[in-house]
Order: sequence, then structure tokens, then C-alpha cells
Amino acid sequence: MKPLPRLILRNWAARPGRTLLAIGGVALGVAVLLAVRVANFSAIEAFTRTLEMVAGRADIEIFAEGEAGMDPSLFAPFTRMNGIAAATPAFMMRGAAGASRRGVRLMGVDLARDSRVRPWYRAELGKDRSPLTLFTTPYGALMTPALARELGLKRGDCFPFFHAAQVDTLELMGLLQGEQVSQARSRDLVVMDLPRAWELKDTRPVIHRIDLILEPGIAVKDALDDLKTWLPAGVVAEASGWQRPQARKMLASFRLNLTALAFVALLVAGFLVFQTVSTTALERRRSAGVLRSVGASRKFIRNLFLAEGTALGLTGGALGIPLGLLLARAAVILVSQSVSSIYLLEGTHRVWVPLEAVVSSFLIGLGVSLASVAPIAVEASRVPPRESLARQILEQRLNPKRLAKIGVLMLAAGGILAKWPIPQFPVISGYVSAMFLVFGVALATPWTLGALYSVITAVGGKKLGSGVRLALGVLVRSRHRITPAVAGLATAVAMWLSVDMMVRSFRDTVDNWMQSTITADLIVMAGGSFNVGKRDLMPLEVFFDVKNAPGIADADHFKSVRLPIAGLPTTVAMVDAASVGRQDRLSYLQKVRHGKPTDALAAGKEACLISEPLAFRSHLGVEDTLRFLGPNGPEALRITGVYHDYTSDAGLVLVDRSWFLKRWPDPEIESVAAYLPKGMSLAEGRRIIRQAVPPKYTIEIFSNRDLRNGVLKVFDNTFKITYALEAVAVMVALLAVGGGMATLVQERRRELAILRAVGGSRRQVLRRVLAEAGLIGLSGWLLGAALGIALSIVLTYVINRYSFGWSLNLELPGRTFALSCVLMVAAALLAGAVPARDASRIPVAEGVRIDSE
Amino acid sequence: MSEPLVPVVNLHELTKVYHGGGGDVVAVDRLSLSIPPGVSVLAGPSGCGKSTLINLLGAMDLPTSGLVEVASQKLQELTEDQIDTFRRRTVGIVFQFFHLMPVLTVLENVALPAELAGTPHQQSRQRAASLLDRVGLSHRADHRPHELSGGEVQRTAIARALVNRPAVVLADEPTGNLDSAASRTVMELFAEAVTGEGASAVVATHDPDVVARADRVYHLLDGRLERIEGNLPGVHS
Repeated sequence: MKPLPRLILRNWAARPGRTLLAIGGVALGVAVLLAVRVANFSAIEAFTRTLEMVAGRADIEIFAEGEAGMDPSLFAPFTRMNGIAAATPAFMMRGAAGASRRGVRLMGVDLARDSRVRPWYRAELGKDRSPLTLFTTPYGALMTPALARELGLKRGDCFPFFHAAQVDTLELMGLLQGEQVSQARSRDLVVMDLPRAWELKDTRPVIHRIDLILEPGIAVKDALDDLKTWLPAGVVAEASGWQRPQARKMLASFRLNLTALAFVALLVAGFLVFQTVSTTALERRRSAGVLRSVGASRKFIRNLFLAEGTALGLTGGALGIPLGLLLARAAVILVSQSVSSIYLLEGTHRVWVPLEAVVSSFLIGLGVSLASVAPIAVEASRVPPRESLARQILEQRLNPKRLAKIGVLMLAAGGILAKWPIPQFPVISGYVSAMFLVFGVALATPWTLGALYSVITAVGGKKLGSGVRLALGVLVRSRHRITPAVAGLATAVAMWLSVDMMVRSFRDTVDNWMQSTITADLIVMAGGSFNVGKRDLMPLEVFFDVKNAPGIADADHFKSVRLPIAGLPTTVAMVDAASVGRQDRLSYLQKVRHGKPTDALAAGKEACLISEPLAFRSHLGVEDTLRFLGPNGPEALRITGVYHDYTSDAGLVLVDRSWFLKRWPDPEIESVAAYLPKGMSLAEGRRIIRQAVPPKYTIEIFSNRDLRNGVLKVFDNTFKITYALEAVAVMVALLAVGGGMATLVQERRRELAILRAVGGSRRQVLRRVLAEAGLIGLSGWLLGAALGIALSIVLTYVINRYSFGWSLNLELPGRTFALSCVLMVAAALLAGAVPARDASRIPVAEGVRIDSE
Repeated sequence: MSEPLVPVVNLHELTKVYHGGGGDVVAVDRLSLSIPPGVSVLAGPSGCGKSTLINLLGAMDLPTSGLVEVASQKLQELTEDQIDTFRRRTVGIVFQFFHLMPVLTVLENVALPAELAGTPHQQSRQRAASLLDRVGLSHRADHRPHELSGGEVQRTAIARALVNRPAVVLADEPTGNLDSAASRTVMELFAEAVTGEGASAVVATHDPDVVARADRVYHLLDGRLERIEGNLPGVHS
């Protein structure tokens, strides 16, 4: 074997623990990055495949804006139109199925026509059933096998279907089959024959979509252009596959934040790799001196280090990919929960692995390894051999002050970018600013450690034990060796604290906002398992029943539709503007100068209120005009107020009921807010409402506290994956501390052996090394806390702000700071325990011997 | 009358200054001398500049000023690649602290310079094996340095220094970390191996046993040449 690979492999075999640590660091970083990216991709795929499953083989989808539905007569011309090979209508409604009231979408289709567009509707009816039974059985329904399993149903079973505060009994006729069904694994779809579905709804029949397959040779673009000339206002035609860019846009901020977190985890892993590789490389530096003294060229030395870095990166990456795929499953579940909660999308446990994510994650891991080793490779190849052999010289060459100056420049650059982000790329500017801050602190660490330890020594004085003073001295001398461990720990602590601060501030802001905004005493919703965002609807009469009930002081209602406004699906919500004005519960950023912002709405004028995220994203404010396409054509509403709202990052538009019903006359609402007179108990209020609402409507009544707790539960769910990534980062950082301590002990074998030789006990050596580990933990925490505060400002006021448009009140949670300090120091002590034990067991005679290395 | 021998080392106004926090240290001070073939010793107390001079002769360090010529090669005129070749082919170095590669076996350590010089693997191993035989370590070929005694480690280092048949072997306190018995053994082997390979040697030492074996001794003090003892055939100093 040639000298170069032989040297690398022998070095690895000589220090297997350290080699595994470096490889493990790369593997873990790559695994986390891949898992998060796979989870992001799977979330998008699940969403779009579910939609594509509904679209089937259609070339063109026609639908009404704003969920209003189209008149069924619109469908008839398509059956006779030239150029159209197949056309089929569909009707959609939301509800809940089964005893568990699982949220579902019910799709009514023309079963006779539908199979050409949606061939997966090959329903498995069972041997003893004729296909005609689908048409002849009242309330016969089909569903996906996954949903049937979840509800515990088999063919022939009857199950309740809850909708609009009513309940009907459906019979499971068969299970939907086909590749798209299994791919999408959508669990929330129930299919019925169209007329039967209309009967359930008990309102005027509408259709929500028409799917078209074009004749061969007809271009989709030409067909769309033709359709757009005669489709009525409010009805849109799009080529199939339009959902994917929409889904990407909707989830863009969410995915970017998650990916950034994964990069931070990789960065911390990078510190671990740098720590291990650079420490190893520093040891190799002496070997490099020997090699140069016996004739190795500069190129050989450079290649030696680079080859080792490459080998570490390749091995770590190769291990990280399968590990990442294993982690991906857990990540998909966590992300799915978040996506379902925030974006009302169907969750998925299916894992889709894009090749691009695998390749790029692998290459990034390799890049981190090479970046760790490159500076040392260059330095070791350039210095005269005599300097390489003289260990102390390197410490003198690395000038802490010079590094600190560069660090300060980076910190300044980070601060400037945070204060004045690049207008076209504000969120990216935020992340770059955060990177500058992290690297700035890392570069300033050696000087800062020296200063910190001097301060501790000066302040502590004689009160510090000799062990601590000696430990401080060792750490100052070896600060270049421990810098990667301290910097890695500081980054992990900063990530933990900054994300925790941002999430806590967000949570407290949302909670405070809910307390001031959701002031209703009781909230009435259609019967169904409570899940914010899983809307089940009630007839408008329920609102009037509650409002007019004797003893109820006031009432308001909520109903919304989604329309594309300023490029994203935006919620347009119907409220009782007069009630909103009376309750005065909205917190405004801007409002009209005279009168209340709700006055124009209550007076029936063309006016609206918009939420902060919408105002931020669309650059609109009070007295501006909000324009969008409604079911009746273009709409233009004067904005009379911009208010705080945290329910949607795409934003909300509030309009009065009278305006809303003219566009969406279908009188169904999502909830009723009831205000009780002072002194009335919640129990009494519930009783009055139940008496007022006819028993044919199945309703649930939640208290204000129930609703807030539910929202906060959803909030907490959305950040589960964030916490998981934090835990990974902290774990990796502690590995770095352990590795750093092991290196320090190894380097100081002689010194520690001499200490024993002159009378030091094992316990004294153990305590000394533990003191060093504790000081590393404390230093890492102090730096991390400072960095964490800076990062939380960037996260809250730049990244979050420009991603979602929300303004938050940043709070510094003293308890978290204290807890993290205790945990980090304790964990550092734990990480240093094994090296401390090894140090106390160094054989004295062997340790004092001068070795060739 | 014999023809003047070509010196293996020529120095002219050679100076090396170390800059440190405590001030500048002049390790070698405008030193000019010529060293003929054979075994020459650089002697003097600690800090006289012996080790510095060895490093400069081996192109392990750069002079502050002055000229260094070793085996007719002017080091200042060499490129980096040429210096690497110089260290491979022209000189061999034996260090006080041995500086063997701990992860390689004794045989591999000795063969390493030959492999770095591009000598085919088999040939390198054969050459290394023959040198180990010469220094009496054939039976330790597969051992690692940490398994050897101090004297055995230094003998391995001597064999390594000779593997590429250098013109000059430089040794910096080769017996500095050895007991007297090991020192004698090592120096006997060193002198025999060097002359047997047709090389010259320049040894920095304050060991009187080593001094006694030299053809000539250059006494240094404070970086300057104090006096020369011994046989100087047709060479100025």
C-alpha cells in the first residue's frame, strides 16, 4: 500500500474512538439534514398527491373561486364540446365520519362518468354485490382502505357522517382501489354518487369542480385560453398540476425554517468534525514535520490532510444517508403533525425520498469535512519542518487578537444585515446574518476565553481553589484546542435558547392575543372532534338561535372561504361587524382616523379589515384598496383597519356578513361566539344555548379556556420537530466537549503523569480534569447565552417577521437561561467524566517517558 | 600531495535570529566555515547554536541571512520542490527525540523516505531490511516504535536516515536521550553505517564520547565558531 493511504488508515486504527467520533459527527449532521429535507419533501408530496388523486387524469380542472360552488347547469355544455374526450363533475363537502368523528372530505361524483377521469375509482365491492348497487343503495359510500381501517369498518358496515350540525348514516359499499390511492394514502376521502351527496347537503345543488380530459392533439394552453373567454366570472380553469407550485408557496416559509434548523444541526456537527479533525490534524502536524524532514513534499503533506478529510467525509456521509432515511420516518411524522395543524392539510406517514436531497446532503457533509481540514492542510504544508516539530510554535502562530478582530467584523456584518436586510431577500439575509453571528463568535472564542478566564481569576482570587486556578491556566494555554468544542457548545446553546425564546415569545404573544381577542365566553361549533382548522359547518340559523336566546348578551359568528389574494390562498372571513365593533376586541396596528374601523363594514360599505401578515406581504395599509377575484367578479374593498392576528401566516380579510352573503349565499358558518352577561356562569350559558338550538343540530360548546388550550396544544405540536433538532444539536455539542477533553488529556499525559510522580493523588487529577470540563461547559454556556440573545433578535424581528409577517414581543425567559446553564455544565462534567477517569489512571512511569511522538 | 577534498558543507556569514516575546535571540551569528567529508562534530554548551545549525543544514529551517551550501547545493537557490528533493536525496537526519512515525512498523519507518522518493515498494523494503540488518534490528522489523528501547529507536532512526544513500547525514544530539551504554552502541553503529554507506556525517553533540570519535570538532559558542580541532585536509575554516 502506498504511504499516504497507509498513514491515514494506521492513524485511524491507532485512535479508533476519535476517528469514530469524527465520522459519527459527519454522519449525524448529514442524517439530520437529510431527514428534515425528506420530511419537507414528503409533506409537499402528500399534499399534492392527495390533490392529484382527486384530479385523476384530468388535463384541466375547472372550479369556482372561494369554495362557493358552481351551478350544475355549467357542466352540461362540456359533454357535447368538441375537443373534450371526457368530462365529469364533482361536489365536495366537509364532515366527520365514524364514532370517533374523524374529519373527512366527502366527494360526490357522477359514478357513471367518473371512471374515465379517476380510474382509481375501481371500487372493490365484494363478490356478492352488483356494481349497480352503488346507484341503487341510498347513502352508499366508498372510501380508501386506509380510512376504513382507521374507522374500523368493513364492507357493508354503516357509519355516522356528521356535517353542518347534522348526522346521517352512510353504508360502506366498497373500497377504492388503484395505484394513486395507495400512493396518496389519503385517509380522508369518502365518495358517493353525486345526487345522493346532494341529498345529504339539503341545500341547492352545486358542483365544486369539473375535470376535463382533452382529445389527443388538443393543446392544454389553447383549451385554457378558449375556456377563459366564456367561463363566468368567479369560475377558473387551470391546467392540472397547478397545486404543486401553490403547495410549495404555502409551505415555503415553514420548509425554509425547518431546513435552516437542520443546517444549524449540521453546523454544530461541523464543529464536532472540525474539533476532531483539526485536533487530529494538529497532532499530525508533528508527523507532517517528520515527513517533511525525511523528504515528503508540500503537496504530499497537503494531500495527506485533504485525503483524510475526504475519507472522513465520505465515510460519514455513507453512514449518514441510511441513518437519515431511518430518522426520516420520525421526522415525517413530526412535520406532518405541524403541517396538518398549521395548514389544515392531510397528514402523512409516507416517506418520499428525492435523489437530489440524498446527493446534496452527502456532498454537504463532505464539504464540511474538507472545510474543517483545509486550513490545517495548507498551514502544515507551508511551515518549515522545524516549526511543525515544535508543538508550541503553532499556538504562538494563531493570534487570538487577530482572530477576534475578524470575529468582531463578522459580528458587525451580521448586525448590519439584521438591521438592514436586503429588500429582495429579507429572510435569506436573516439567515446569513445569523451565520455571521455564529462564525463571529467562534472566531472570537480564543480571545474571549482568555479574557473570561482572566476575569474569573481576578474576581475569584484566592477564593478559587488551586485546582480551579490550574484548570483555568491549562484552558488558556490550550484554548486553541478547545475552541471548536466551546464554539460548538455555544452554537448549540444559542440555538436552544434563541429558538426557545422565539417560540416562547410567540406562544406568549399568541396567548395574550387570544386573551384580548377571543373574549367570548362560549364558542359553539358543529359536533365533531375539536381540532382548530378542521372545519365542520353549521347553518346560519344556529347563530340567530344563539344571538336571540334569552340571557345571551351578544353573539358573533365566523365563516371563511379561501381565495387567492396577493399570490397565496388567503382566508376571507365573515363576521358580525357591529358585534366586533361593540366588543372592541381586535388589537389594531393601523386604523382609520375617525370612528371605529368596523363602522364602514357594519354600514354595508365596500370595506374590510386585514390582518398584519396580509398587510405585510401585500404592502397595503389603511385607506388602501384590497383587490381580488370573488365569485361574482373582481372585488375592491377599502381597508379600514390592520389588526394583529396569528391564526394564519397567509393573512385574513374580515368582511361583514351582509357583504359576504351576497357573494356566498350558502348560509353555513363555522362557529358562533356567545357573550354572557356579567355574573352568569358558564354552565348556565351552556344550558341556555342548548335550549335555544334545535336538537336536530349536533353542536359542541367550548369555553374560552378550552379554545385557548386547544390552540396552544396545536401550537406546541407545530414545534415538536424544532425541539427534536435542538436536542440533536445539544447532543452533538456534548460529543464535541467529550472529544475535546479526551484530546486535552491525551496531550497532557506527561504533565499529568509528572503531577502524579511529584505526589498528586488520583483524586486530585480527576478533580482537576473535571474542573476543566466544567469550565468548558460554563464558557460554552456564557458565549452561547450571549449569542442566543443576538440570534433570538434576528429570528424574531427578521426571519419570523419576513417569513410570516407577524410582530412578536420578545421576552427573555430567566428560567430557561438558568436551567440551560445548570444542564450544560452538568452535561459537560458528564462528558468529561471518562477522560477524567482515564487521566487519573495514567501509569506514572510510562507517562513521564519521552516518546518519539 | 593529495587533492583538496570538496567540502560537504560550506557556510558564509550564516545568521539565524529568532524573534520572540522576550526579545530577539541570535542563534547563529555570521558563521563561516567549511566541513570536509568524514565525521564532523559540532560541539559546545547548550544554546551555542548546534541544533540550529543542524536544522539549517538540513533545510529544516530558513536562515535569516548568509549562504548555506551542502553537497555542492546552494540551498538559497533551490525552489521548494528542489528543497524537498534535497531532503530526500542529499541529506538524512537523525533527531534527538527520534521522531519516528508511531503508527508504522520499524521496517516501514526505515523504508518511508525511499517510498516518498518514488522507489518501488519491493525495492524500498529490501533496502530497509538490509539497513536494519546493518544496525542489528532485523528481529524488530515488525515492531512499533513504542515497543523498542531508546537505543533501538535511535538505531532505527539511523537506518532511516541512510535509506536513500544521502551524501550527508545530520544528527542532532543522537545520544541525548540514551544511557551511556546505549550511546556507545549507537555511535559505533552510526559511524560504521555512515562510512560504510559512503556518506559524511555532521553531528551536533556535547557528549564527549561522540566528540572523541569524530574526525574533527567545531567548537561553537554563542552562535560563533570558537575553534576547530582535528583533521582538516585542505579545507579552510
